[in-house]
Parts: sequence; C-alpha cells; structure tokens
Amino acid sequence: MNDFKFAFRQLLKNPGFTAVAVLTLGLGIGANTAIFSVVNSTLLNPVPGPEPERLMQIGEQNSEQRQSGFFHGVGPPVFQALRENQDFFSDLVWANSGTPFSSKTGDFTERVQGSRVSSDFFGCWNARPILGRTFAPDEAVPIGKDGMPIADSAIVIAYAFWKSHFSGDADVIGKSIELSGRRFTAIGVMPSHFGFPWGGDQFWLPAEDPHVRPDLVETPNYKVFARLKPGVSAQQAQAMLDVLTQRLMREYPRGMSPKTDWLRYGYAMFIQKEGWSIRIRPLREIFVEGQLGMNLKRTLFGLVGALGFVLLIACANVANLILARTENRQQELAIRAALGAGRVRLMRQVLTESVLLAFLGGLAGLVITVWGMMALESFIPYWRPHLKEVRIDGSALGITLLISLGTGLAAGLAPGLRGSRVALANAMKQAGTGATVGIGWRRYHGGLVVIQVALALILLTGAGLMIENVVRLLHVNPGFDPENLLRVSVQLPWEKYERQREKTSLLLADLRERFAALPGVKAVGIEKESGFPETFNVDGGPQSVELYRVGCGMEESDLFRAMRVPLLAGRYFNRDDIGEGSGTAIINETMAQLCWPEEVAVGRKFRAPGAPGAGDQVYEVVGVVGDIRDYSYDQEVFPTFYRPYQELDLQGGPPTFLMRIHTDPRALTQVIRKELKAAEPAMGTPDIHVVKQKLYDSTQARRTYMYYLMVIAAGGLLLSALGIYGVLSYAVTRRTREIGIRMAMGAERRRVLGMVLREGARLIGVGVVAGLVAALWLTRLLGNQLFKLFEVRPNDPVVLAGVLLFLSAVALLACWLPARRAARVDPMEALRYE
Amino acid sequence: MIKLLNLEKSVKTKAGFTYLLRQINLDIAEGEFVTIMGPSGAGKSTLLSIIGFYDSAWEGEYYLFDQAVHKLAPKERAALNKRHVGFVFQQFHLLEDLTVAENLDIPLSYRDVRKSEREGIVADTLDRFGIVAKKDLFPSQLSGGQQQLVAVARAIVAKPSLILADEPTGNLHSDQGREIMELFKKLNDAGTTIVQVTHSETNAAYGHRVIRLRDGWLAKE
Repeated sequence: MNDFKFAFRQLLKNPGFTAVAVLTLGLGIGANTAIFSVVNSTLLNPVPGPEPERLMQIGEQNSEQRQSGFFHGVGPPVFQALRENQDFFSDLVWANSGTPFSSKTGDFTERVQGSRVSSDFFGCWNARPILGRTFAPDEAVPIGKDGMPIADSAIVIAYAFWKSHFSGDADVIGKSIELSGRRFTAIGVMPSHFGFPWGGDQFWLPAEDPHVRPDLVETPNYKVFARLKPGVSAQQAQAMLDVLTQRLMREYPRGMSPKTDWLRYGYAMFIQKEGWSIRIRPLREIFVEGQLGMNLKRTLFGLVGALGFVLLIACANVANLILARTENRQQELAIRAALGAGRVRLMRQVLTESVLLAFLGGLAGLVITVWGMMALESFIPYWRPHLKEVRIDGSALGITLLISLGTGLAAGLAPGLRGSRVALANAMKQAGTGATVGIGWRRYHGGLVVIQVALALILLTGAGLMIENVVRLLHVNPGFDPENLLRVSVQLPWEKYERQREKTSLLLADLRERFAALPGVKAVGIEKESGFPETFNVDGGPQSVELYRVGCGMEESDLFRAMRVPLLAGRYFNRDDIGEGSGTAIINETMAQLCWPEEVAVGRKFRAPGAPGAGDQVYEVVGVVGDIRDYSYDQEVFPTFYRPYQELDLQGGPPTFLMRIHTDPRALTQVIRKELKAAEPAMGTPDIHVVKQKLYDSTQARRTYMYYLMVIAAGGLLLSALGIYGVLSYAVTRRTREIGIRMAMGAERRRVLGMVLREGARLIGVGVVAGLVAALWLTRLLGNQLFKLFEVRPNDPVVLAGVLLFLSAVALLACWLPARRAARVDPMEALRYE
Repeated sequence: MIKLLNLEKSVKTKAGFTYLLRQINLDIAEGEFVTIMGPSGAGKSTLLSIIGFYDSAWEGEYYLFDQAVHKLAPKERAALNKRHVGFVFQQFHLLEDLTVAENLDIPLSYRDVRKSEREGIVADTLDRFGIVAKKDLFPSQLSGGQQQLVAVARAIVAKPSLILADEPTGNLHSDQGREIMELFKKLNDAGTTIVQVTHSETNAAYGHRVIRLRDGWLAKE
C-alpha cells in the first residue's frame, strides 16, 4: 500500500512527466482500441449471438457471379425445399426488399425502402427492439400478386424512421402507419445500429414464407439465413444443396416455353445459366462482400496500421520517459538500498509506479476510445448491413492495455534491476559526480528515438500520399462545366407512367419548358440512364461488348450543351434522330476507345442482336462526346452511347434535368418543387442538388480519411518530436557538469550547440534512412491495397521529399531546444551544481 | 565485535590492479566509538563501505560478532546489514518525497516490522530526537542540521548495534556539527558501537580512538 502511496506522490510531484506519459499512453491505447472495436464489430466479428460461426447465408450463384463474388437470393422453390428439409438447420429465416413502398410526406410522396421478413427473422440474431416487441409467429401476412401484404399487419420500424416520422415519440407503439395505401400498426422500434440485411431499411413487415404459387413469377430475391444444427458442418449442408441443385435443374429444364408456363419460365432462365448452383457461405462474408466492403476494409485496416505505428511510437516514448526518470532516481534507489531495501522491494517500488502510470493511461485511453469510436463510425456507410452495435471491444482494450502495461513494466524493469544492483558505496558519494550518460544507455535511448523517427516517417508518407491523392482528385476535369449547374431527378408515379413512353416524354417536355421559363435558368438538358449494361456487337471491333444506354435531350433540351460537354467529333442530335428507326448514336470517348481504338468512330456501326427471327438493331455513330464524371471525380466511366430520351422506359435511373443557372440554387429549389407538383400532382419527392457540391461531397470519405491520417501522422510526429526532445534534454541534464567543464576549458557556445545538435541529427539521420527504406518497401508491397490512390504513385518523389523535409525540420527543432539550453549553461553554476 | 584480517580491496584499471586498501588488520570492540581519519583517497569511505556490507568485492577475512562475513552469501550479508547496521551520510540522503516520519518508517518497513509496531517506534524516535513537530514536513523544508538530525534518527530507528557515519558533520556549520556529535556520544554511551569517518580532529575527540589510513594502508592505531 505504501508503495502505491509513494508512487502516486511521485507522479503528482512530476505533473509534466505524468501528464505526458498518461496522455501518450491514453492516445496509444484509446485510438487503437477504438479502431479495433470498429473493425471487430464491422468486419472481423460482425455477427452477434452464440456460435455466430454456425450462421450461414444460402444463395444462388452462376459461374459469372461466382467470379465476381455476387451472392444472389434464392427463389421460392429453393426456400420451399429448404423448409421441408428439417435435418440441417435449426433456424431458417429470410428477408426480401422487393418493390419500394410509398409514404406521404408533406406535398410529395416519397419512396421508402423496407423488407418483408419471416416472423422469426429478429430472433435468429437475438436482435431486440428498443421499444415494443418483434413479430409473433402468427403475425405473418400472405403477400399479394403485387408483392404487397394482402392485409393490414404489424410493422417494426427502424430507428431512423422513428426519428424522422415520429420525432422519436416514445408512444409510437400501437400507432398506425400508412404505406402504399395500406395501414400497418407499429409494434416495435429497432435500435439505431440494426440495419439488416440491407442498411437503409426503414421498416420490416412480417410475411408468410415464400412458396411456389400459381399466380406469381418466381424470382431469386429472398435472402435466406440459416443456423446449422449442432453436429452439421457447412460441407454437409453444401452437399445437401448440391443434391437440391440437381433436382431443381431437372424440374426447371432448359427449353421451357414462356407461352405454356410463363410463371416458371422466368425462374428456369436463372437455373439454366451456366454453372448455376445453390451455395452456402458463412454469414460473416456478407459484411465484407463487394467493392463497398473492400473499401471499408481498406479504410479501416489502413487506420489499424497507422494507429498501430502510433501505439509503437507511444510505447517507445513512454519507455524512454520512464527510463530517463528512473535513471535520474538512481541515487534515491541507492539510498533505499542502503537503508535495507532488497532487490525485490526496489523493483516493486519502481514497477508500482509503472503499473500506476499504465493504469492511468488506460483510464485516459477509455475516454479517447469513446471519442475515437464516434469519429470512426462516420466511415461506415449507412447502406451497409449492420447487426451488431459498435461498442468497446473488451479484448482489444485488454490487448492494448497489456501492451502499454508491458511497456511500462519493461521500461521500469530494466532501470529497476539496475537500481537494485547499484553499487551501494555510490550512495555515500555525491550523486552524479563525474556522471555522464553511459554509452549503453545512450544507445538504448537512441535506438528508441530511431524507431520513433522511422515510424513517424512511414506515417507521414501515408498521410502525404493521401493529401496528394485528394489534391489531385479535386483537380480532376469532370468532362463538363460543373459551375452553376443544378441536377433535378424526378420521381414519376410508377403506376401512371410505367411502360408509357409517350406520356412520359410529354411530361418531361412540359417540365423542361416550365424549368426553362424560370428566372435565372439559362439552359435545361434532359438525361435518362437505363442503369444496366447491354451486350452489343461492334462492326470492325470487338465482337461482344457491354455498353450502357443513356437517353438524352436534343436541341432546346440538349444535355451536352446544357452541361457544356465537349463534342469531340461529328454532331449533336436533332429532332430527326428521335425514333428507334433512326439508328443514330452519340458515344462517349471511353466507348470510342474501346470499340475503335486509334480510329475515327463517327460513321462506324454497332448492333444489338435481335430476338430470334427479328433483325439486329443497328446504330451508327454520328457524334463523339467527352467522358462525364458527374457524381464523383473518380467514378469509373463506362462505355456509353446516347439515344434520344423519348425511347427509354421508366426502369433504371430516374429522369433528370441538368439546369445551367445564374441565380441562387436554394431559391430556385422551392420554385422547382412547385412546378413539379403543378405538372404532376402525384409526383414523388425530387432529388435536387448542386452538381459542383455533389462532386465535392463525393470526395468526403477520402477527405475524412486524409484528415484522420493527417491527425494520426501529426500525433506520431509530435510524439516522436517529444521523444527526441526528451532524450536530448535528458542527455543535456546529465551532461551539465561535462558541458560546464568544456565551457570552462574554452568551448564556445556554438560548439556546444553543435555538439548536441550533431548527436540529435545522427539519430534523426539513422531513423530517416530506416523509415525511408521501410516506407518504400511498405508502399511497394501494399500499393493500392491500403490506400486506394488516384493517379498517385506510392513512391511519389514529391511526397517523399516533402515528408523528408518536414520531418527533418520538426525533428531538428526538437533537437535545437535542448541544444540551446546546453549552450546557455553557466560553467560556474554547473560546476557548483555538482 | 568487528575483526578484519588482511583485508584488501583493489580495482582493475588499464594499468592493472590498483589497491584501495592493503592488509588491513583491525579490531573494534562492542561499545567502542572509533574514528577513521586520513587524507582524501586514503580509503576511509571504502573501509566504511566494507564494514557496512555495502561493498562485497574485497579479499581477506571479516568477522562480525564472530560470524565470518567473508564466507557469507550476498543475501546473508544483506541480512546482517539489516540486523546490525545504521548508516549516516555526509549529504544526509533523506528521501525527498517522503515526510520526516515516512523517512523514519522506511528502514523499519524494509525490515518487515508490522505497521502498528512501526508507528510506535517512529513516534518514540521522533519524541526522543525532539522532532515531533517536524514529522509531516518534507526534507526540503528543514535546515541542514535538522536534516542530519533526521538522518541520524533514521540510522538508529531500527536499533542497530553499529552506526557507521561518513563525514556526518561535513555539510553542517559548527553548532549543528556539535549537536550531532553530542548525539553520537549519547548513543555510544547507551551502548551503540560507532565508527565515523572524519577530517575533523574536534569530532575525533568525541571517540575513544583514531585509526589513520594513508594510501590504503593502516598507518597508526
């Protein structure tokens, strides 16, 4: 107990040392625990409940999907078979987002996304609502032909929906919610972290299990999740699914006639695709699949690496601090030994302080962990599936605490051992007489500084590359003039305009006229994306290419003129191009390069294979326009051809107006909404945004990542600078007498300044070389794996040179301060001091 | 009480072995007050360190209460030190972060004396040395003489039979020095054996006899 009291008093007596050590440890522990907690609950261990490894997803895949990693849902025939087979799964639940629902909000009807789920859906992952309850088994409602529940039913709503539609009213349970003309009774509110199987779901409805029925087209849209029974392996379940695959392939054979059995024909088209089979995979994989999962993985693991380095720097710093302090206490330890303290007692005393320091660092770490987790959660896109709350991970906290505790112990142990062995006779002499810093210990301190500098250099290189990356991204030419451009995407009422091309075209033309007449509007262009690729054959080019079709306006509604997209060759559309018979197309540069590289594209043809018996649809290129990046600066540009918007159906992207304006876009927004309502009272909520802002916003994730890396690197640099300063400062203190003697012997101040600076510069030099080698090796090894770089080479010489200069400048400043102190030593004072 | 036979201490230097003490033969009886004198570098402090078990790298024979110290393992020597020796330094060497009372408590806690017992001993010692009022002060709040007074109190708190004092008045002015020497005299009169190192003939006069050292050799007894 006394040891603790004295240790506590020692720490209080040295508030500077204690604050720096506790904060350093806290930062190291907190930042790392936060990142590990987020990584663990989102990527490594995202499935809650007991035996999460037994939870599986079952889906359909053909060979092409297997290659891309896409995991489709299953169709009713598969689910029905799974439900009938009771031998393999203890839980079997499903979810289907299906057709979006509509919800009335103010003047507009908005589309809201929700899922129909099996009534036992929430029980499978122990998901509990924050209000009310989840579904009872008897609450499942049959689904009608339109994919909607045929009767009013219970509804469980998401946290965001509860907040936005009920302002977080605690009395929401029992209230009625109207969606797509049906009424649902709210029975539960899920917590904010729950977003499964798709993030962004606003509600869940209980529905009867999918089954093969005579009135509904079968599609593989049911995401099915199952828990393996004890003793059943995933391989055994897969073997069962393989048998089921064979059975269904026989039941849905190739060559089914759409005329005689059109309901089953659609599903047979899926089953008869090459390599089709029913697969099982651990549920965990759903959290890391696809590009989004990969991006999150990159981002978070990048931060894990960076923060790991900071933890190492922090540990090295704390070790140096404790070492220096304990060395300064050699005399005290010697006196204690002279008074009868055994080696164990001395060690206990020193270690108690280290442990106490680590404990206080741990407390600070906890606070920083909570802050850090809040900051890191901004990286998790809302549309990602969530099951688990991101909370402090006990094991991560334990590991980082252990590392810091270990550092404290190791740093305390070495001097403690030395202190306990100290020649007791020295205690009888004046401490420090003739004492300079021992070579061994100087090497030890120096080694830690070298490691810190090297790690800081790696961190700064990462941050530097990210800064360069974002700067280049913000200077990318998007292919059009984004200044004063407004994008208005409209939501036409599906039931009135589906497959009504002429009606749709008339409405869009009417809207264009209304918008063009608004004050401050200079030009209005129309755009309508099909949203999916189609396969074409290219005359004199590749036989089979996937191209995207985009509908665009012409003349007064010309998209390219409104956006100021450069015409590279040929001409724009005119009214004669309207109608499928015209067969003209404007293509983008990417398509021109893909289909006719190094050749003139205008006048060339490409064709869509027609249905059996019908001829091919042939298109002739009449113009080539530049590539457009209108959503994000680094979006992938697909090979695209443009046709007049009049011939596109409502499927795919919503019809969009691009408006060149010279007025305040916010004022215009209200007028646009009024015009939309006047032209079509059933119009859904439009999406209106300033294109330049959208482009800038598209870099937000990278900018945030860059800021975090900058903060982390700055933290690492600061800690390293503190380390350098601490070691040199300590050395100067220990050498005060020596410096005094040197000066008494005639050494000028600049000579002393140079002596200390040289010592620091040597350490920095070694650290820089080691760091540079490691940074080059790491960036070469990882390339774009951790940092998805845009037009930046991992070994960019400008970045490396900048980092070297910056680090050297900061590190030399850290040397200069103790060097200046050394140069100001008063020789008489120093010798008297001794 | 103390018997040294042909005790020698040397250190290895580039030039070979340098002797700090040569052929020391010495007897100190229980209850004696002995002064070791000699010029700087004569080996006085080294001899004191060896007698106090703070230096174990020497040759020869050393008996304490007829126990052959030269045959003892380091641990056993440390135990002897704890049982018999109290040390007073020229620079006081009080622990700066501990109060006066805690400084007195430390040697007892290192000897595993129970807390309740320690409190009693510390209170008695504070009272005996007239420093009760100072018990909660830190060393930096005391004068040099008061600090050395606490240092002597700390040296005797564990009731050693032998007090070793290395220039105990070296950092004190004459009045304070006299006070400390009077204190040693009292302790000696009460039966404690004292061995002091000093340059002061006045201080030496408080003892029974003087041992003189020169270049590591015992010059005269």
